[in-house]
Amino acid sequence: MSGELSRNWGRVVVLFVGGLILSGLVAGTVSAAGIAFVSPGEGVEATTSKPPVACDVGVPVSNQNLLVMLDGIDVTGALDFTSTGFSYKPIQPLPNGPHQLYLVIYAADGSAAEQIFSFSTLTKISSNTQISAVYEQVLDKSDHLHQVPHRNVAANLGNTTTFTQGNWQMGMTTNLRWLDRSTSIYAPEKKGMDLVNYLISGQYQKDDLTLQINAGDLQIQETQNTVMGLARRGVQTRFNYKGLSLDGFVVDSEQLFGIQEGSGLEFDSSKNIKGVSGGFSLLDNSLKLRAIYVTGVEESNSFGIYDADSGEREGDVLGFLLQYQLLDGKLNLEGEYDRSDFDGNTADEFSGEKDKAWTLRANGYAGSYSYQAVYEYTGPDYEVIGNPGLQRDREGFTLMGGVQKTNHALNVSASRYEDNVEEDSRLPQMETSTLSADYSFNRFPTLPMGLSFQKTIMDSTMVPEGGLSYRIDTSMYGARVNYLKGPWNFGFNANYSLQDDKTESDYDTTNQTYSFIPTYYAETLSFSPNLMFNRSTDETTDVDTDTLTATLDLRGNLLNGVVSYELAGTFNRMETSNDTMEMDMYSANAQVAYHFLQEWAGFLNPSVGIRGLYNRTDDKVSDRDDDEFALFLVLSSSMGFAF
Amino acid sequence: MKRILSILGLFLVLLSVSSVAKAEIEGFTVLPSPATAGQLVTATVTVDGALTPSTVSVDFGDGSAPSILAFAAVTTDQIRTATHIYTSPPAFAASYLVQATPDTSLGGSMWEATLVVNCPTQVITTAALPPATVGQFYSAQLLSSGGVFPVSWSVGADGDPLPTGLTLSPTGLISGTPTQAISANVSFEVTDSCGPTTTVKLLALSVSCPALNVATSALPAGIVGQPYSAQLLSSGGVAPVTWALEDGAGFLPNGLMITPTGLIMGTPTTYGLSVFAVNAEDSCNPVAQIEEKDLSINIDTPVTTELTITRMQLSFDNGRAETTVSRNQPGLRVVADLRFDGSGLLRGYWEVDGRFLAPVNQHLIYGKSIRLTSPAVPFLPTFVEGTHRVRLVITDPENEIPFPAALYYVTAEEATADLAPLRTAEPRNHAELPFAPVTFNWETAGSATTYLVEFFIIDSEKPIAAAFTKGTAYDLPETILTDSFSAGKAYRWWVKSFDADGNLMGVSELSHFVFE
Repeated sequence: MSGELSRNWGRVVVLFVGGLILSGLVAGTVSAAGIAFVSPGEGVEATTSKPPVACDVGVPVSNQNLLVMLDGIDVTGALDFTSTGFSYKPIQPLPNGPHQLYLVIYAADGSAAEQIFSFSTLTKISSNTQISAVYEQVLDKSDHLHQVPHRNVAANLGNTTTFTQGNWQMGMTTNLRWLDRSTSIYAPEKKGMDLVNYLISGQYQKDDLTLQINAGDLQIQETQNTVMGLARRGVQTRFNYKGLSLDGFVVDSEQLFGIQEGSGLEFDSSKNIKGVSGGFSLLDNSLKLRAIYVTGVEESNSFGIYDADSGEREGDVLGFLLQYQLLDGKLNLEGEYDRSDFDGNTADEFSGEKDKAWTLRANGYAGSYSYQAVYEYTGPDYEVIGNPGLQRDREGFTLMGGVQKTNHALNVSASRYEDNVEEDSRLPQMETSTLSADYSFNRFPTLPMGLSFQKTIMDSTMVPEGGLSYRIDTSMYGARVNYLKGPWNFGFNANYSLQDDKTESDYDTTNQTYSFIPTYYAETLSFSPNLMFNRSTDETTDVDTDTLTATLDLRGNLLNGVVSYELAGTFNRMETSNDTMEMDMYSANAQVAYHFLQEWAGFLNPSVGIRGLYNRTDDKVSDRDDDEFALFLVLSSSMGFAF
Repeated sequence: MKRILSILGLFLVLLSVSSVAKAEIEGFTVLPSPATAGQLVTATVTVDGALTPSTVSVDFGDGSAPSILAFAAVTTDQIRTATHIYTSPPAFAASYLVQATPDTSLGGSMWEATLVVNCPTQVITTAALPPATVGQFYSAQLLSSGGVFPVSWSVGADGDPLPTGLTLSPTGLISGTPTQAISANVSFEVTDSCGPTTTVKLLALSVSCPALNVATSALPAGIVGQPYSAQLLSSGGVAPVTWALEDGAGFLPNGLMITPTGLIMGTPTTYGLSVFAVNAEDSCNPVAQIEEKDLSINIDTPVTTELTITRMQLSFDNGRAETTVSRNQPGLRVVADLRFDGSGLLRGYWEVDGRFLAPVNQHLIYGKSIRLTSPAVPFLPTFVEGTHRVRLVITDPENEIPFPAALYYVTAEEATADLAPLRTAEPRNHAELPFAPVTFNWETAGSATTYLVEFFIIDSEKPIAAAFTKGTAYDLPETILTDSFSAGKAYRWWVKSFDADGNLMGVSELSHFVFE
């Protein structure tokens, strides 16, 4: 951010011009040449990331006649004014390297004097460590509550450390955790010590050259049809020189929890996803071309992921992306072409399939208006390792437009897609058309409200002889209104949807949800009850399923945070109109804690508390009710230190 | 006369003396005669009076100990009996000399009787044998009567041998697991311990295979282009059962095949209903059983099939199913990315540590993956330190899938984030402003000490201008206005709040405006 702004301001403020234009300043004749850069001082290399900044102007100044910008950020409103100058303590750490302090002093006649000071910061090492520990002991509990351990101990050490030397910078972020309890622990957690996650990064930066390597828990983002949002453990390298970039990564096929499952650095080609991408930009970054190649294998199921297609997949994809920005954002063009070779199950006798996908996109905005047009094609066998969200066998377009006015905002979109893109005569072709609109009325700032609508029609064509035609219409309607008043927010939402099955099975369903969500959020108290009613109806059998949910989230503190209290409760009632189900569920979790020492010895925050939980299920159909409770003594402490 | 009286007196004395000497065994019988081994034999001794208590020894002649019969000193006749059971004679029939010997107090001699003892008549009482089943354990007890135990059973040579897998024990137990279907007439012989004597009987023993049935009555639907697998099941019969498609009775959907083990597998390439018949042939020996069943498979397209969740991935904003947050961290949410086939109404709920958090009800339409986010109110509870498991449990469509869990760990460190809302106030969202210096205002009930205002052009995440301020307003200077903004363009802005240590406390929603 600061680099961008610095460049921006660098174009505006070229040189120090003070002393040439000053005349008739606020209190007479103050020249820019008379401004003293007290701290850190011109050209000084500060060894802290938040160096105090102070200037002596020689005359009284205020934010009415002064503009101060640090690295392009206007900090005038955060200055502390002295009798003849000002001081400023950076809110956030300044990055290592050179910094620019830009001052403009306005005279009463409208003229101004500018001054630029330079300094730099060099923090060789900085570290922030947070240690947290909690011990829970059951005081009493229901006899059958076996899954609640009598004793539970957990501790976490979180650390973020950066080390800088010249043009080199190293960084590390880790969470080291220790768990123990009197019962077994659900996988993937394990008893004992484990490095839950980590990220180690190294960077070399000089002028326009940036080299970077990251190892640990990464998130890989390339393009829509290649790799998007791939969160895995591995190694990533990045090279940037002016408009040229070259990236590479090798990550584990499975999502891992803890270092015991793997460090991500094994580089076993049978368990990796790896890829390279490179690109360059021209015409002042308005034209960008990028090529991506990804290959590897992927396990269908791993931590946090369920996939019905079990087994190992293998494949590769080669993609090209072209982006061109025209007319200062009014027209952005994008084209992507990809080819994949994918084997959905390496264990079967079938080999992989090759296919292609491509996308053309145009979007832009002009004033209050925005638009987007997309045409997409994804082949029937187009699948990509590391991007399971892709919808294959699909071709169609989407048109979107929006207008944002002071009192009104309207967004509309229309799309039409079809499957069986190769028009296989043995299969029907399904056309899906969608029209949606969302309208917001903002005339009253404390009472924003809106309406939404969506209609989707799925219809079959090219139905083979003997096949059944298919048609489903889905309509969705929504309304929302909020009332905002200080810490209060009263929200009301209503949604209704109907799915009209026009096939022979005629399985129509409706769904309606009404929710009332008042919230009160203040410094020492938050209160957010939630009341929701849902009715879904199987129109074929005329059976309603009603769900009434009431939740309460209350938390606050007393005596300047010495005592804290929390209560979370849920009531849920489900019943069907044919009397096959009628069930009430209650759950509550409450805690009161006494923080008997705050920042003891400067960093330790111990507390002792009592926590209780209560759950009750009342099945009125089978005439069964179960309840359970547990009461805990909770000892916890956190400590943090940074340098 | 005196002489006559003397003679008479002498006569009487002699008479009385002679009458005392006559106390002896008067009768001796042994019945029944002839007798049968194992039958109760009774020897009866009659004594016609005794002057003193006396005994008679009865010896049944088979070497067993004699029976002693006691008689009292009475003048009347006394009858005593002794019983005995002859065991197996050395031959089919044998004669025994039964003797009754008086003791010395009795007069008379020993009495004897000859008793013929025959072996009993032996009969096999088992009238018929229960049928046996190939592959199933069989057990039947042969029974006989009349013979003298112990008896011994065997299979005679006159009939068929026992079916393979069955054996006959000497005690008459037929047991084992037959391996072959057969109807046999087996000659069973039983030999008792008397004589010995052997009795033979021909009994029919039928061994059949268990009836073979095709247990599968319906097959699940498949989806074009997606791997299909269904196992045909049989009951009864003799394993292994071999499956095949019945000739001339329809076809499997294109792309599917049936293996000899009954697995229908493959990837269907066409859609629609396929009606066919399968036959199952078991390994019944010597004649296999064949059972035929009409079945069908409906192949849907991913569009037309019932709503089915095919993939679920949970993640926090770091992209992983795991995150670490501070205590009382507001706004923690998790997202579930779902892929599904078909269309329909999805019902389920979010749960944390097994506790119901919020319901989920939404119509899904085939054609794209969907992202469901846990509710903003209430957000995931963060006031209890330690690990928490959050899941999206889907109740409709009914799934027996292992719903994945995401873990979040709450540290004891208190979050610096402010629950109090931070809202942009002026200019209002989507305001159309003249291209001139303008004041930006926001409101909060929190305890922030410093704010950062950032401005963006649409579709960019890099701010074009920014400012730190201690108050809840920012006057955009003309210098920055002219340098960073343009007339006729749309912009977004938001505010971030910080505490005195520079910790981020809150971020407002993005607000839009246009410079005309």
